[in-house]
Amino acid sequence: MKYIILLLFFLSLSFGGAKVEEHTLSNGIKLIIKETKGKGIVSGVIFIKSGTHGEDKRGLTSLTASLLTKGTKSFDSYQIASTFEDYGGSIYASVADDYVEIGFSTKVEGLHKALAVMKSILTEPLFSEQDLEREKRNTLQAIRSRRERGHELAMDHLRGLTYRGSNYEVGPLGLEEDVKEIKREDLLKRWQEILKAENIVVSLVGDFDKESIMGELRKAFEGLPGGRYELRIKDVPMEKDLLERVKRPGSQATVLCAFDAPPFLSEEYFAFKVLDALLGDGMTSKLFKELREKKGYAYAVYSTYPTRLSSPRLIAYIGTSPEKKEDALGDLIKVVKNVEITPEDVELAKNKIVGDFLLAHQTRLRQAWYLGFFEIMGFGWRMDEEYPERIRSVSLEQVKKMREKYLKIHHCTVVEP
Amino acid sequence: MTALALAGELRSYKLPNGAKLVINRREDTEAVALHVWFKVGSIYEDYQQKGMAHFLEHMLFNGSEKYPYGQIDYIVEGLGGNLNAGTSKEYTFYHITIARPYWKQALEVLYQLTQKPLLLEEMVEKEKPIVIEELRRGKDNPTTVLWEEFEKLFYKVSPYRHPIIGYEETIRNFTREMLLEFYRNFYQPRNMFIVIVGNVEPEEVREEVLKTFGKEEGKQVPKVQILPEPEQLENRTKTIKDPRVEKTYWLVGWRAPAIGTKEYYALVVLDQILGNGRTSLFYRELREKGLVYSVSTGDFGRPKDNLFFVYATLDQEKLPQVKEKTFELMRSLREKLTHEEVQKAKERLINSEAFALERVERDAYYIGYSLTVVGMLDYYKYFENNIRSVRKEDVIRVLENYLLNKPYSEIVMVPQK
Repeated sequence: MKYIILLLFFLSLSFGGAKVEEHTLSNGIKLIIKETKGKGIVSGVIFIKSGTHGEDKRGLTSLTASLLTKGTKSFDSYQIASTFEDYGGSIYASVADDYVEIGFSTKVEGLHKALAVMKSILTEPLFSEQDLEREKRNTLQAIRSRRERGHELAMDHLRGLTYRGSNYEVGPLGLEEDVKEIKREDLLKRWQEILKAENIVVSLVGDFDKESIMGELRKAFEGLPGGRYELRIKDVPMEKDLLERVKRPGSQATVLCAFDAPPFLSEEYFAFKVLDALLGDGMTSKLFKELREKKGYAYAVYSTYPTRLSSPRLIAYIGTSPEKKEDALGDLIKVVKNVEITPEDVELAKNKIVGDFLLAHQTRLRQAWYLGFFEIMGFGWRMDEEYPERIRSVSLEQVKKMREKYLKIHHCTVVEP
Repeated sequence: MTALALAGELRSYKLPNGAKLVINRREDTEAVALHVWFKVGSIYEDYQQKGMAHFLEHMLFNGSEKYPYGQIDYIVEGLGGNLNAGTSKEYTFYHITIARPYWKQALEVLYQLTQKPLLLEEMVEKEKPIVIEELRRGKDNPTTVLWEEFEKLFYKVSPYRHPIIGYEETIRNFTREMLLEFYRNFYQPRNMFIVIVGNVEPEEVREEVLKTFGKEEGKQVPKVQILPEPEQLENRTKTIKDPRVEKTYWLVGWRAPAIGTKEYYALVVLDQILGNGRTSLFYRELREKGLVYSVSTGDFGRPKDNLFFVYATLDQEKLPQVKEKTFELMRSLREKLTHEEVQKAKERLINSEAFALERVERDAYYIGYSLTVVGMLDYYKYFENNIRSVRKEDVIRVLENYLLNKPYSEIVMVPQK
């Protein structure tokens, strides 16, 4: 496999190619900026470490975030949207399990206005009663709509099964019964609770002149409240095999299984990433080869190792015909737990991860996202540069060790007609 | 397909065998996108062949003269690249995105994949259950059913009425001979468009293409009669009840100007005004007023019998009101639309190009689509100019002539309680 060595060239390449700078503002906000060259465009992501941790009403953070772009004391919803869309860009706010994320793209000439809007969104959101009622109805419908698709329904049930007792038990959209009860005061309180400078990372990548925007960045973010929002993280380890079956009318069965995995801030993380890619990422992966190509169970099959602050899992999926589901379930578990691993498999998986990682950096928005993500999750933004090498240095022995140590227990959900 | 821009240095060649090659040299990136497009999709199939263009796309991954089954995936993933393919109603394309040093290997892979496939009998049988799983996976998703039913209602004669994936009964009857005939007819130089975008030397690329794709003999491409859709004389409505859905889906469409025609650019601007982004009319008046959960508009970018649609999700009891409001908003646009709004919509469209083209594969896609489906590179080259030349009167004329004064087709999918 001579071609594998070629990948070393790849590592010296980077997209955008510019140096990253880090600044800590007086209130404690971490600012990461990267200057690129191009057609005068810029993207940024603001991460707020929080997510669904500590929510007393499940879905509160997501509803709060959904209202951020709907109006502030200085800008209405249309003004907020047009600030970005007039320049061909956009703005969004969303919630993942461990953080709130507000991202935007615009032209450099629109950055001044964009930062003024971002500041207003963060410091003076309106959370109007009218908007709240409407977005509540939207959220309730979005929660119910997850039952429309087998995969989403299976994922919600798998969460309940494998993360029971932690905040990950329920997805960011929350629970119907809780969302119905959310009041404007809840939003104000939640926003005040999590908007703490030490929980915030601002990441900006674009064709600007670094020196000239520092002042504006300070102006936009230095006024945010200092301090920290402490996350009460609860780890729920897997103890024994579990299987849940859920009925849903349809033409396919959806199988989702969670397996035990190492915590993310450990050396094992990188070796396990390789193991995950080897098992379930792409056309050369074991699950694809064994379950799709050899057995013909499915069109789609994959695994993923989501980076979460606690309760680490590897999650594997297969969608198959109802008559094949028992075989597919059994073989999926078998492949994950027992399939043979060769040195070539490991090399290939590493190259796949590194290649995908670098190609994902083509847009400024993704570049900003990765820098901010690594920082907010505790790796530090430098991981964006180090990641390919950390993956490259994983050995066959380490991957095999990961398999011996983890992937012992499974929690599976089968959605079937 | 809307946003395009002329980015980089564009070269266009016609090879002696009839194949077309377009290279867009861009110095702002380390990634290279290599695309091979064929002017064949599901509308080129007769009834027995329904699903064959898509099935053939799967089959091409099952071994070639130089690379036995599976090896191509190892080569591309081993180089950290992405290999994929897609089949539509009008075209089929194969593409690799990869780091610059490896573009030659990627070109050789695409050459073998598309020009030297083995199409073995045993592989035809291996692939059938996989494609049938893909079909069932689609049927398992209510929105896939919705869109398929919509085209079935909209097109009564045109082959656009059939789904790309075909039918279980046609797929089961495919034989190697049928596939070979279809392959020989359409996968040859005179029906082929090669697109390469990245920091590559155009002359070097051309030489390399001549050494691979250039060696194949160009033959006459059989003329397939694609029946035109007769004019629709009255409104059509179909309601589907589905036990899986939790909300109502409303999809309404009209015949629209063909892509690449002068009127088409006015349609693109109208689309931007009506339903593109959070600054659009429908978003503000329907989504933000709490009448719908989501709303969007778009067209299918077809070279004939094109269609324009409005798509919304909502509560069933609000449908009469939403429908009335949608039409009222379109009608009132005739008087209320200002030059400034048209100007703003044009700016938004043009500005968004810089973001769309950050990814080389997106750029290559636009070029491939222009060549293969629109039938002229000028569509890509002059898109921005053509959008700039749209006037308010053009937008209103398209609104009146295609939407307000013409019959529509609508599908309503409601929950079956």
